[in-house]
Amino acid sequence: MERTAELELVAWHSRRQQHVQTSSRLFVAAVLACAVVSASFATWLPLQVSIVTVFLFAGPHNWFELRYFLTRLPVRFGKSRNFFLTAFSGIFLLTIGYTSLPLLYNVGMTAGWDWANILGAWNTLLLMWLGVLVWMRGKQKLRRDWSWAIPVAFGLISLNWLSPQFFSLAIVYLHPLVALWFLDRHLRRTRPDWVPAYHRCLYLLPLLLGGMIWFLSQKTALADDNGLFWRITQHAGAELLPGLSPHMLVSVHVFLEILHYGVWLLALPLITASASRRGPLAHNRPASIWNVKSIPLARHPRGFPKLAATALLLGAAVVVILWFSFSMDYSTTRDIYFTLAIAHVLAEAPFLLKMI
Amino acid sequence: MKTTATLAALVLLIFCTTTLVQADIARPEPKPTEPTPAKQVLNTGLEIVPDSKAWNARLQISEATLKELREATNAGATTQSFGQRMAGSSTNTIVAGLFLFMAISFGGVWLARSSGKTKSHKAVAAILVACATVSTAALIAQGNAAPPASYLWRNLSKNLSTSKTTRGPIDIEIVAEGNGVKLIVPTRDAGRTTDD
Repeated sequence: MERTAELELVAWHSRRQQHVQTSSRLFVAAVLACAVVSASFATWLPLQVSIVTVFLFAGPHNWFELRYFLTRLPVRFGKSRNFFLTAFSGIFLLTIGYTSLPLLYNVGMTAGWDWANILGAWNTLLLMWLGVLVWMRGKQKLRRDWSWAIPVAFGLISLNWLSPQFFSLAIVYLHPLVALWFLDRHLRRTRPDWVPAYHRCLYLLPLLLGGMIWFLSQKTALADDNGLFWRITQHAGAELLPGLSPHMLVSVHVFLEILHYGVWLLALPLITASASRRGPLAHNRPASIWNVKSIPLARHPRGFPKLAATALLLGAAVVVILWFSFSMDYSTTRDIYFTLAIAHVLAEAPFLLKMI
Repeated sequence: MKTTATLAALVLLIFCTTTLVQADIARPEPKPTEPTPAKQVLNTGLEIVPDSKAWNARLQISEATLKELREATNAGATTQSFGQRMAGSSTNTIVAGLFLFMAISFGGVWLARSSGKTKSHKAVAAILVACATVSTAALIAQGNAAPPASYLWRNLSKNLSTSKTTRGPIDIEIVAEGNGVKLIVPTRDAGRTTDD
């Protein structure tokens, strides 16, 4: 009887191993296909793809991020109270500071201001905030000393002051990659068997980027003869890097943005749904994204279901308003969106730190 | 005797005077007037596009670049390259230096507090020392100099003959002499052509 049980266990292990391999291969195939298709479109029609992707996905991906962060928010902050207070006050103040600059410029109160220094000061506050967050997160961990974050933050601030505009441009290019880090942490929790395959997929990223840069480095400049196209090339850093092909810069930026949208809109929701089918509640149907009760903050007896539902509904309303505004005046809406979107860039930092 | 002495004194006086006023040295050749140095007003990008269908050479400037050019020439200020900008702003350099000092100080405190605890800390310390050594060596050897802009123009002649586009950085300068527009392209790296 014991031998029969052992044989069944071996067979179960074998079946499970086979299933893991198959699902892992499917995951790799999907990631590779998405990356190659994104790179091809970004190389072929960078301006058009940029316009379409921002129109379609900018709002929804923010909504999915909001929902993801709500699922990660604890019902009671407990020992993380100071961490979350620092995080939220930083997000609020830095966003206010960032969004007020264009408003002050439009009002005409910034005559004679040195914009490079103002940008440098804002970047300094951002890096200090990040350094403090990393240090505070390290204090919550046993056997970990993350006080290196303070000298590293000071070192980065020093680099920032050498050329604040380039530092801000670096944030534009690095922010999309943070989504890949979120995906890595999420996979470790929900599908650890896919993590090695995912890491192998990440090796493809520098190859694709290198190929794009090599192919586009001597391409003809993009036709940035209208205001919208000019804005897109400026956002990608064409003015700061005049020696580089604007076509290459826009393509690389669009490619990274598509990856960012893909992670938040496809990868994370699909992996969460597939993980819920494998867990202890596997017999239940995966929860709908609209089901507020699937968020711990709302499900808990002492939670805040109304607050979570209101946040999601307001987020959905903002997405619809954004689509409507894009249809009315794409250029202005794009400018406003990329200014306000700094809030979601900032919000990613504390939630990623909590997952590390 | 008296006359001889007077003549000798007179000759001596003349010799002394000519030595003092350097009267035996020929007048220097008049120097050719040096041309007014060109004033760099803008650092931007240039794209040279061979067009088999075009009838005349055209110089296209985007509205944004023209606006920048106008602002730069009106203000009388010179737009510097990235390296010049980095080195030129003393305020930024002071602030950067201050934060670098704080980074090194806090890093030193962190290393001292955690020294000998783990192998990773020793590795970080070794990396920091190696970075500092390499940086110092690079500064001494002026290894931080930017790569020459001429590198991007190295394939120009080949690209022109094959009707391909060439793109690279350019400094726009205002010169006192001459008419029209002159394009000076570096050819010192032309020997290093590649197949890209």
